[in-house]
Amino acid sequence: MTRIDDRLEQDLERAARPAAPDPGATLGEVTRRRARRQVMRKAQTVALVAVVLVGTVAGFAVLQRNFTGAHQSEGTGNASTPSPSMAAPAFAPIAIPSDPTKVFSVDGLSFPVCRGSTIEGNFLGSGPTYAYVFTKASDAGCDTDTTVVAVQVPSDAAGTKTTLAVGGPLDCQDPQTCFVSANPDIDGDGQDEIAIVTAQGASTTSFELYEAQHGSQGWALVPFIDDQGMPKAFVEGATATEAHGAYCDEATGSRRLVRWDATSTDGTSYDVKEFAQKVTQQEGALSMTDLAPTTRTVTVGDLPPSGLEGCGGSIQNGTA
Amino acid sequence: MDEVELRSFLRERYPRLVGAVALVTGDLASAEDAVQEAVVRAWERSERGAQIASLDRWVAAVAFNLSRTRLRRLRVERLARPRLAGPTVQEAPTGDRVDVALALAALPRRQREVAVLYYFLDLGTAEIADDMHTTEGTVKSQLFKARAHLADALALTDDDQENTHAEHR
Repeated sequence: MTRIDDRLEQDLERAARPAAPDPGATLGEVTRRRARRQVMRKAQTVALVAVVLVGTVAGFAVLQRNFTGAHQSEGTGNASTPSPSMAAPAFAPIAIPSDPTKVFSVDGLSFPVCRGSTIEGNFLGSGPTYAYVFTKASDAGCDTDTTVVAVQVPSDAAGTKTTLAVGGPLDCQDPQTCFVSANPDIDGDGQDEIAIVTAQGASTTSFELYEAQHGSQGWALVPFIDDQGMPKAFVEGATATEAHGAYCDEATGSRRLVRWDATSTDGTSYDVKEFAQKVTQQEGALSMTDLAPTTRTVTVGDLPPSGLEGCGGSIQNGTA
Repeated sequence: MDEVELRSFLRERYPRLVGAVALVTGDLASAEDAVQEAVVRAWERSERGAQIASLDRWVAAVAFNLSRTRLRRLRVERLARPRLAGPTVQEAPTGDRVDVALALAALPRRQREVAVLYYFLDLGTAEIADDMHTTEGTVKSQLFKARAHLADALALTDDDQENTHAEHR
């Protein structure tokens, strides 16, 4: 080591020496500091759990508000009121086991199914019938991810015997949370569409739409697709920083579906973008595109309607 | 780390670590704060079963990081409070002490840390590089510059500096 190194060592020793604290008094301070950190950590854990719980409860509350139309709105004449022209079908619905994992057979389907859900609606435009979502079962049981949508279609002149028009497979995130959820009439033509919940998160739900169409081959179920040719997904629900929904309006003189997205930085004021939907018939599908959005800023209480409000029909929030 | 080990550490090593951090920060109170916080974290880690190979080096590295973080927070205040600009010396040092304190304060932060770790805590350049998450070559370069600055500021003899340069080559 050189003289300069020795000199620097000595100088730093001298400079630091007066700064040396009394170590005897330090143990108590270190112990107190550790206790404070433990208390802070516990408080942070409690706060985190509280925030998660509140967020979950709020999310479910929003979903509940959006997807409980039939019971809450009975007799009010709003979105969840069944069509007054609906009469009881002349045929019975397919019996669905209460155990969702039970495998059963359905006339008109070439494979066994499980996890059935159903809703009544005017899906053919000529009277009430039933729409279904089934998960395809295998020989081993209810264990596939393939899910289909079906509508009961009369197969005789009297309309007392039926077969199934089948569409899909559906784009379900998880077969266990995939079910037929509503029978809206999004264009006001008197024929209901089929709304199917395809994904459920803690705070949001995603659904897709299908429509029964009659062609040379008989009845078929065609999806509403987006610009990419994929089933168009609509999101309902809210988190602390964003909210989504879909509703029908008749501001232009005819009914149309409007979807909206809203973002917020403070949880009270939301920037809303509403996209009216334009539907175009394509080969084997209905193309649904977003028109230019209208934007506005609103408070949380003035967010646009959701839960397919104004579209007619009823909504259910689970499997039948 | 049990209480006996902790007491031993606080008695034998803690003062020197506080001195080291105070040399870098120029602030005894914040140095004590940083080292105590680092000791508590080491204590908690050892209770969770984590192994700390060298408690000295671990506490020093964490304390330097904590004081660096605190320094960043103070930068905004410094704009409004010019008297905080630059490390402050708690007591009124005189003679050699003021020379060294001022010379250290004039160094860039990294050079200051490297110089204190090397000259005061007697760490090797490889150990410093490991603790600072950098290469040994970078540490040697920083040390060379720090040594040259300190020698100049402390008006060390030309012979000393020549020796320093010769050794570094």
